Amino acid sequence: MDRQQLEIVSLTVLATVLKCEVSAETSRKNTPQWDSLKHIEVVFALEDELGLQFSEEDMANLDSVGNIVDTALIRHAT
Amino acid sequence: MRLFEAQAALFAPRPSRLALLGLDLPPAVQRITVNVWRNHSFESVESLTAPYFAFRGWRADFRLGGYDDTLMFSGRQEADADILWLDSSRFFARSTLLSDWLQWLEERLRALRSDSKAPIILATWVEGSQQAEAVQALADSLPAVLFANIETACTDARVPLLDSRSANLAGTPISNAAQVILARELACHWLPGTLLPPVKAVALDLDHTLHSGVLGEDGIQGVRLTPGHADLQRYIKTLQQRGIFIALVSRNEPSDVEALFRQRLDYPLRWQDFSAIEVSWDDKVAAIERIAKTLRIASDAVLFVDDNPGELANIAKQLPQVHTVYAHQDASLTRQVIHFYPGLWRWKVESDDAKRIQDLKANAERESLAESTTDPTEYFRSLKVALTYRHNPQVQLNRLADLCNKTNQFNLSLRRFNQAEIADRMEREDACVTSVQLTDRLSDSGVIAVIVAERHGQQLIVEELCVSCRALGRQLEDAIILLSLRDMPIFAGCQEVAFRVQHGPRNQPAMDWLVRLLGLNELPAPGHHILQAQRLLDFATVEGVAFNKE
Amino acid sequence: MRHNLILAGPAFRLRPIGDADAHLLLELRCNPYLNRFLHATSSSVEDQLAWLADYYERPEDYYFVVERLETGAPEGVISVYDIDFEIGSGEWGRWILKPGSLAAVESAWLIYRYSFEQLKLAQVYCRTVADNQPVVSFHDSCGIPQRRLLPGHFDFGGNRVDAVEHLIDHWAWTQISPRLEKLAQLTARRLKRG
Repeated sequence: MDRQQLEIVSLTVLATVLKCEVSAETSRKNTPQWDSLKHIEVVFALEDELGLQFSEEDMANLDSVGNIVDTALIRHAT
Repeated sequence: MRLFEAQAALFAPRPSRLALLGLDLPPAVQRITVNVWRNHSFESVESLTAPYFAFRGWRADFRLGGYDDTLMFSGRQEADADILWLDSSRFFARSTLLSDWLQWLEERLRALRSDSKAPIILATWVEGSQQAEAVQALADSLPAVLFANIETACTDARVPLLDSRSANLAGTPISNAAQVILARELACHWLPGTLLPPVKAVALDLDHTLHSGVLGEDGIQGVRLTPGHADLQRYIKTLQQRGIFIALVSRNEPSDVEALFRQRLDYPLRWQDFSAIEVSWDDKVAAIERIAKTLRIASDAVLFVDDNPGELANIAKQLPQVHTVYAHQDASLTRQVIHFYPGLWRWKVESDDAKRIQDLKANAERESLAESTTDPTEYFRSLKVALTYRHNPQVQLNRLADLCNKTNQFNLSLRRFNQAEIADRMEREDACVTSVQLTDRLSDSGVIAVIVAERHGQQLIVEELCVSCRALGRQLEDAIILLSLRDMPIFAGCQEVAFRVQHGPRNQPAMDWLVRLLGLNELPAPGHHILQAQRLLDFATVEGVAFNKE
Repeated sequence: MRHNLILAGPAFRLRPIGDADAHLLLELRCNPYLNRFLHATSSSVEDQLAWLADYYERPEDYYFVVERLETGAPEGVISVYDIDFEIGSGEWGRWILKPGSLAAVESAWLIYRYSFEQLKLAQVYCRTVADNQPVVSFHDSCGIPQRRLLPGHFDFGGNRVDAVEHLIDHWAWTQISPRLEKLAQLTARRLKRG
């Protein structure tokens, strides 16, 4: 998947899990609905939809659309 | 229609978390509350259960306790069920002996049981089948405690149970894939098997449901038994072995359908597997009503499977209590939907469940015999009818609780005792629980009645009185009930028997019986109705029927 | 519960809490620098005394004051509680130290020693508000292998916050104890130097 496709998947996951409007700027800091319980669902749903497994270190960093896309690109490459 | 469209997402072999979270299903009409006592996170499973509950039209409010390895059950409130959601590895990391853990767990379960009569589901995993058997034995030894083996559920679904990354992220070592599977098990099997009235019959359409194609257009050899349809038919047969009736309801020429089953020897299902057959051009609403009557069950115990959304919508409108499932072109998906349909699955198959099918078959012969005989004594003698009474039979606890909760017609007080409440009364000196088993030369109908009574001074109060439909219409109600009461140890010295009465939507047969017994002019009001004990003492046993006591 | 246990290390000791410590409790729990991650508490001594009265009745709950060995000056409080001897498990916490106190390592080491060596527990755990980074970091740096997030574990007036749980079993304690002891000795030497 390229960057754009990853961003689309990420936004779809976030919108479905958080049940709010999301954008490329969405992050845990600026989205109150994105609490730790929702974060669990976001991470697991991303793994399912992207067909990859994040490391424990990755999981802590998946806190914004940008970071999700960057991390997924690295995971896809490895 | 939303429900049928959701079937593919809900019942895929490996459901997608995102697809489940994105489902928008109609709001629930029924609510249950469940206490969850846990030492690892339940939240990420909880969110996934919601669409499965919604599929069946109900909603579960989970009350989560704190993370507590010691299972103190602090602040317990009444609920419909209690779940122990345990990461057993937190105990085994310290304790090397399973027996130590089981001893402790038994003490904790008894403590919870003493505070509550609600069913308890112990949801955990252990290593290996020997350990699982030990946990199962513990659950079996306690009333209304059920072992939900998380490991088996994951193995059956072919997903890994554990993922070390989950502990840090989600507070549970249960893997992402396992969480989805367990949510489905909880909402479709474990809780419905505990709390919902059971589905007792599956009524199946034929064309595009049990095979691919239309019999009337493609002919007997033209309709296709795809691998998915063959697997579906084999699966339906296994339901029968669990005592679930199979019925056929199809708009077709009856002779064509009979010929199909005669000639297509590759079909796993055979004509004689169906306990009720409705093949005609009639409206399916009437057909399903007739099926329910033939099977002697209420229509809310029927699951109707059809590929035609119009037929399903018509049933939903005219018989809203009938359960409906859409039959997919991919029959393996239909099989999944039926397998997971909430209310169909049972924790255990009792021997009395399996007897149900044979017993119904025997009815046809009984009815024919009854028509040809005017003398009841001769009728009973020729059938070799026997009633066996047992007082406080612990081994029948499951069956008796089933009877209390599933009997709707001949149920006088609708008390709906659960296993724990029945077990409690079996222990008490001032109470008695009596079961009655009915056999004849055609079949063993199994345990068909339960009576729960308590002694208060000179009075015997009948708190619960249920007789299975299987035993009705054989003129044996008085013998079943009055002889049970007379034989109870707590009856000795009583002056009166008080029958507790509650009105329900379907318990007219029980009311009618009491009207006749007491010589009333109208239906008995809710409350207690008195029969002098002398009437029991004077009751003459029915000639031709053998009475056994164990 | 009322107890008379004293646990002494190179520079600090743990001694039983009593009614005379109600003011200390008030001082610690009402300190805005310290109470950000604590449940709200009453600001009256009477209420602290009432809480202690309840505590004395609770078996399997051991509350200590952390004191400087040399001077007897109190520097904080610490507890081990919710003990279940059947499964050999207990939780430690209620850990509050005055700003500037160097008692962290030694008080933790002492409470672990008490739990494993005196109470003979098989495991001890501690649950910290996830946002309490300094304390979470402290436990992480002890090298505790079993760590998990407990989403929504603490309830602060209806607001649920996450906890990080650090759990040590007996084997892990044998690995961690020498390290903590060494750090406690180093801190004690530093304190002696002034």
